[in-house]
Amino acid sequence: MLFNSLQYVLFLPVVIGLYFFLPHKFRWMLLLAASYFFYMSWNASYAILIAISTVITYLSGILIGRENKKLSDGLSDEKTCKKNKHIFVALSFSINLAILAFFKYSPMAIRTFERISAILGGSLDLPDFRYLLPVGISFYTFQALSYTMDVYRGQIEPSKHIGKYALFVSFFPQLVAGPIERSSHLLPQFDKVMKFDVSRARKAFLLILWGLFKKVVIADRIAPTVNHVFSRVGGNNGVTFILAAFLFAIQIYCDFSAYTDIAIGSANIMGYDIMKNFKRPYFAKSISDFWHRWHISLSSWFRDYLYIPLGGSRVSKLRWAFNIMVVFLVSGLWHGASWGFVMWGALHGLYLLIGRITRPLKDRVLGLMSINRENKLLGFISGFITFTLVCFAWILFRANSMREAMVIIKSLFTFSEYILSINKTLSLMNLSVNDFAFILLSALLLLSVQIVQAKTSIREFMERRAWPIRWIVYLSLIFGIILLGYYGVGDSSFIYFQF
Amino acid sequence: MFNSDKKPYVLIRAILFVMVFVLIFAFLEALTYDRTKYYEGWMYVYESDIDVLIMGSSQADASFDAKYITEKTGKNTVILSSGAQSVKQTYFNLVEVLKYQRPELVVVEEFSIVEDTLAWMDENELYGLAFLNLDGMKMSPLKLRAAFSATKFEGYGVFHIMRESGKTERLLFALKHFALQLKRIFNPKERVLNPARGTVLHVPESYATFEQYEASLNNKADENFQLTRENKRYMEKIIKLCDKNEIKLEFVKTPLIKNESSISGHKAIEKFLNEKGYDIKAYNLMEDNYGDTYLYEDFTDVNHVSASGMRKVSDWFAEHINNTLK
Repeated sequence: MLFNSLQYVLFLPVVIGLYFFLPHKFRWMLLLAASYFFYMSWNASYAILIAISTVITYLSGILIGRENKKLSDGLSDEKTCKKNKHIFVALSFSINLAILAFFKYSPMAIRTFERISAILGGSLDLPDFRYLLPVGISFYTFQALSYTMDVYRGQIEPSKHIGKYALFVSFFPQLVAGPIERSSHLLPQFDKVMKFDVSRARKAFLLILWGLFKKVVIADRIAPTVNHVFSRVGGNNGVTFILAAFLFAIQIYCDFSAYTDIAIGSANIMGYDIMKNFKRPYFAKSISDFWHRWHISLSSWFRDYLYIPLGGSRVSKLRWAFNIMVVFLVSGLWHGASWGFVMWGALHGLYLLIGRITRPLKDRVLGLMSINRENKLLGFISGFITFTLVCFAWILFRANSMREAMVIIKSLFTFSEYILSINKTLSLMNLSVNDFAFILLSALLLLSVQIVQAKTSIREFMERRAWPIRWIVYLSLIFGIILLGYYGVGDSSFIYFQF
Repeated sequence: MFNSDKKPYVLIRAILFVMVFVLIFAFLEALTYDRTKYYEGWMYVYESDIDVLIMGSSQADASFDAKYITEKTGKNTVILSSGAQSVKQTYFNLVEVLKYQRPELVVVEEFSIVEDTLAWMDENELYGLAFLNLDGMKMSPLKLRAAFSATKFEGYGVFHIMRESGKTERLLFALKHFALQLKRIFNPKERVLNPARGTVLHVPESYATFEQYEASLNNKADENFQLTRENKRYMEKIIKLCDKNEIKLEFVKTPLIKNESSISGHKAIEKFLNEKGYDIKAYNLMEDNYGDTYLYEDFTDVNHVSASGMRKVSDWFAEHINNTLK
């Protein structure tokens, strides 16, 4: 069930209505049932995988909690406790990651082994695993694993209520594409008695509408053009690829942030607070800044559960560089079983290393030129460079294969006569002038909203307005979505579902 | 449940909001209602005014000139067809038509019965074309049933303002159309029969190429060709519906350039109809490349006749009407 489907338009109000109708003690049951129903609408049999992940991490939490209690009660020594806890964490991680690896990475591993074998002159013919990738498997697996780690670190008490814990792993608004929640943040909320708050519901409704607008009006309208260019690598040129990379940057942001907005809004109506996942990422002034603004729940997950355990930045420079590269390579691999994602991660890691290494030099140059770091022009230039680097990296992310990515990158640096004709370029991209103008207007609208957002919360601002003004805004958004939305053509699922 | 003491006030406002939404939605829906070239004619036919109703896919509107047939026979002939229309849609359209009309004769064209049109349409066509078939219907449970049966139901196609096919153009056209609607409301004389009567002249802009012809020869007849269960079921429904309403029902095969696979389909439908006590009139005997009497210029492509081909079919059909309908 997609957020941008009529099924969800019916599903959400029914769940919300029932939620506030039921007494508090039954609400978790309703949400758990709704969450499994939501997930099973894709492929019912894969619900078993969430159930397995839930049971494994729940049990490991209980067992780790017992070890902690034994230690605090003096019934066990620290060494034994630590050893046992390590075993439970290792079990939880290995089972969950094995499931993830089997479904997500086995085809890539098989292809790689077969290619290596062919290069070496052999003909390895491994069994072909062609399983349908369970939707959102990387998201809920990471969410469940963060619980194991938090219990292990003693940051939270293990959950005693398996029903509520199962709800934490499968909570439908953020189940298939995040934000990847932390147990310390979401789990306690299931114990709170939530009341329907009109003002909160209005703000949440506005967020959902904005999310839908970004998805069906902007992202889905751009998608066919991007797909067209990236699927005809031979028939395009540098100009069209530059435009397509720029359009993909808008598409993926609108697509993914739309999902997050709808997820946050859906949960907010019921009173639940879900963490932010985006903070105007294309306004970042450096790659490091970008990663503090893009997919925040994942980057902070990697920071807390991989980067810091590896030693973070409190190590030698070489080791630190190694840590950064490991984090970004794993982050790339998390996105999908393809070398393109791995290289995309590696490139971002490289950007970050270069940025850090050259920082003293940059500071010195700025000092010599007496330019303040807060200088607006400098900020604009840094932002532009960062955006360009991010767009360049998106090519690796979006290309259908590494070979095609290399062809695209090569063609970026060759002159094309198409640069002189916008009509020729657009026709090559299968994009009409009307649609191109529409996309540019949408991008401008997005930019304007983000500029305003930097200064004030639009939802809070709207909340203070009189109801006729609010109605005009709501209805404009709703009819914008209906009239300008792109429906029923091509695949309208969210890009991040595949991860 | 509420932590506000303004509960009734909030509910009234919410209901009011939904009402405003529905009103604007209905207005925009009417505004962007794209009376397609296929439907423009038949939408404005007066009640109980149709004598002969021709239904089917694009082959039906390519092969028959309704206005010409009406002139030659004195029987008010209307075509209700659209590209890739399935037999299911033909059935639902017929149910809709029978709410307002009582034709003497209903003619169903073969292509829509033989082909599982929804199977070969890509998504763009699916939403662009398949839902055009619903345009003749007013919003009703029947229309929803038709939409459900049309495709994997996403609901979008039912509403014109959400339909993607040609949307930008339609939005731009909406205001102009709105003015036209107003004119029709204030000047009832504007509601006259449209001379086109659902017919689009298939002018020979792109003659069938010899490559197409040669390729079509390679399509071998599939001896095991079977009509789909769905198509058979809806054919039976159409037969039953016409029986119940005492309407004469006929089937026709419109001209195609010789094509082995279409022959096997034709044989299958002929067999099925014979079992039901019906015959099928083939306007392309397919004994030579273009049938008995068609010329290369009589086709616009392998599946559709041109204006000259249409005239030939219409002449024969008019003669048939004159001989059979009093």
